[in-house]
Amino acid sequence: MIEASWIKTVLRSRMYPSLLQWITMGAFVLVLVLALFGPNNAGQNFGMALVWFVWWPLMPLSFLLAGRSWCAVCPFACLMDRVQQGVGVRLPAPLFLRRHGPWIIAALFILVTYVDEVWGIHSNARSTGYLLLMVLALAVFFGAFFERRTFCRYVCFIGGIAANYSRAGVIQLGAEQDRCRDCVTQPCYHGSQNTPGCPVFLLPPGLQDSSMCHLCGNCVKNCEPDAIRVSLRRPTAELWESPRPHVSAAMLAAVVIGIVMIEQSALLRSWSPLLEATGRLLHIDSYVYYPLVYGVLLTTFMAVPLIGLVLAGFLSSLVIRSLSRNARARVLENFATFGSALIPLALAGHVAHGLYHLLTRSRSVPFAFLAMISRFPGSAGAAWLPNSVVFPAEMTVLVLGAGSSVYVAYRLSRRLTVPSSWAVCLPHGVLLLALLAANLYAVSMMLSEMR
Amino acid sequence: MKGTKAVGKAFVACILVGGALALAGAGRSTVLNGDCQLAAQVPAAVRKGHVTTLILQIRQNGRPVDHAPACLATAPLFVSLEDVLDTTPAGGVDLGSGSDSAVRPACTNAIAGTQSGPGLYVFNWEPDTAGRVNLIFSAAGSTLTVPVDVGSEPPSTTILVLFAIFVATVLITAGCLRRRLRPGGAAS
Repeated sequence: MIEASWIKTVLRSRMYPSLLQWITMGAFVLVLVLALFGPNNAGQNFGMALVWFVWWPLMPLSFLLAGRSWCAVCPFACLMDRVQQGVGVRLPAPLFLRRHGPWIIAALFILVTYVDEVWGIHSNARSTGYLLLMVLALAVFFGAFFERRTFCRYVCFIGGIAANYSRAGVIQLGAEQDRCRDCVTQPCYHGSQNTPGCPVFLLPPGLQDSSMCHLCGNCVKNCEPDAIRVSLRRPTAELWESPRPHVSAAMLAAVVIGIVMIEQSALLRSWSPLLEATGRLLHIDSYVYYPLVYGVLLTTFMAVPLIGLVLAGFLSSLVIRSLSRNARARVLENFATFGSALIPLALAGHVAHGLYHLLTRSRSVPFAFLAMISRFPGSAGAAWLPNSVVFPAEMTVLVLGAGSSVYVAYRLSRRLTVPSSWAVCLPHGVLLLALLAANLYAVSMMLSEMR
Repeated sequence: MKGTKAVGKAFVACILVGGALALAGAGRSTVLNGDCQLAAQVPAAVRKGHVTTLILQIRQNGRPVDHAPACLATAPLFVSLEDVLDTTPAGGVDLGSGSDSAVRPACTNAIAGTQSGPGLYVFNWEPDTAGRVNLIFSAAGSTLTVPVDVGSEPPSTTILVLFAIFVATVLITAGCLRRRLRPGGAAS
């Protein structure tokens, strides 16, 4: 790990994150107004183009490179803070949310993915506007009644992938235990007169991973003994160095791989035959009952990596039992532990899919801006790079992600006290390679179809 | 048969004169060549999701032409899935993406005309694009292009009102609750 003092300087600055918050807030207001009152067209609406062709594709990459710093400058969080300052009751987060938060977040992420596809939120400005209004309403509600950023911690549907991906990220925040030992007031958690405490209820000395830290810098500003450390680390290192097995995180990583796969598949020509075949199987019209057919397909796509992980966990546990005669090696534990190994592949799939949208669509952002001011640029493409460059780039990202996943699985198996680490991680390695092959196949099909 | 041939010849004589006639706030667009006239009645703006009636009339010497060969009015809708996904603004005309994923594969790039009277062709088109589109009417070699503004649906008043009521209720309730819980009321 390398100490990153320049990041700490940024975090300590009074301008951070407030300046960026106001910029994102301004952008959010523009996007919301355009989504509700602008042209109902993803390519002609500047706000839509900005959200779906730039912000959304860049989001997973930002978690890898900058941790959850987006969460620190998120306009919803900013608004929530303002509401809290004005009328906030500051009740503690409900027990139900604290217990089931990760599951709620995962369920909401799947729900939003489903609704997005079925109602075409990403291609319909009004639907995007309504989605933003809904999240805004929730943010206002949680900001008004509950303390700190309860919404971000336990409800925000991006929170799950943000937590997983930032664990694979390169930025780490922690505290020097020696300096914290004598601290009685804990201003990093409780806040000081000038700066509030940690918005997501974290105590830096006890911080075990980067999944929840928003890198808002409050603890850095509050800590007088300067005990907070911000460092750069190898990508994915946290996944094996401080594994914290969470069934929900493992499940979400597997599900995201399925979601990315279905999003890729929906771009293929074989998507319509697949829809029709599913409709025939269910004895219904695929297009009339599209929400149902898509629901079945989405469930299937999500179930495949999930079942694969269960099977790999089962086989891996069998190996552990036979090698170490450890009868207590449980499948669920193995599932949760090695589920972390899926995170780099899930992240790579997400980044690769985002890359496609970013590189082949986001050139429409300046066009949409010109259209907004009634200056049409004439005939021009929305792509920055041709498909022949974009798809190989996607494949490279996927291979890198899968390589990292296999490495994480190997490192995780080395933590177990078994004679052969390779044997333990072999089932997971096979699963990862199978998932990589499926992803590469989808991308290569797209490449051949769009040539 | 003879009549059909004559009409066919008359149509062949109808060559595009001015190309596309882009009439702002169009009601009726026409292409005239000799004694042959191709006219389209299109609303100035059509609204996404609403059924719109587009009328194409073919007249010769001011009279509706009878027994006209089949006409096609082609709108630049979606030819393939790539076109659906392509949101490239082209010459100020943005094809956009269909709002309803369910109808994507069923998108048509041609609208067949239905003859409802001598020389009168009515096109019922349920637009599934947003932004400005060109409707291209073709009849035996003559083409009439009519740009149409596809108006975007205004946001649902119900949703906006519900949102406003919800936010107002939350803020008022929280404000009252806070005053009751902390008589001082100051933010910490």
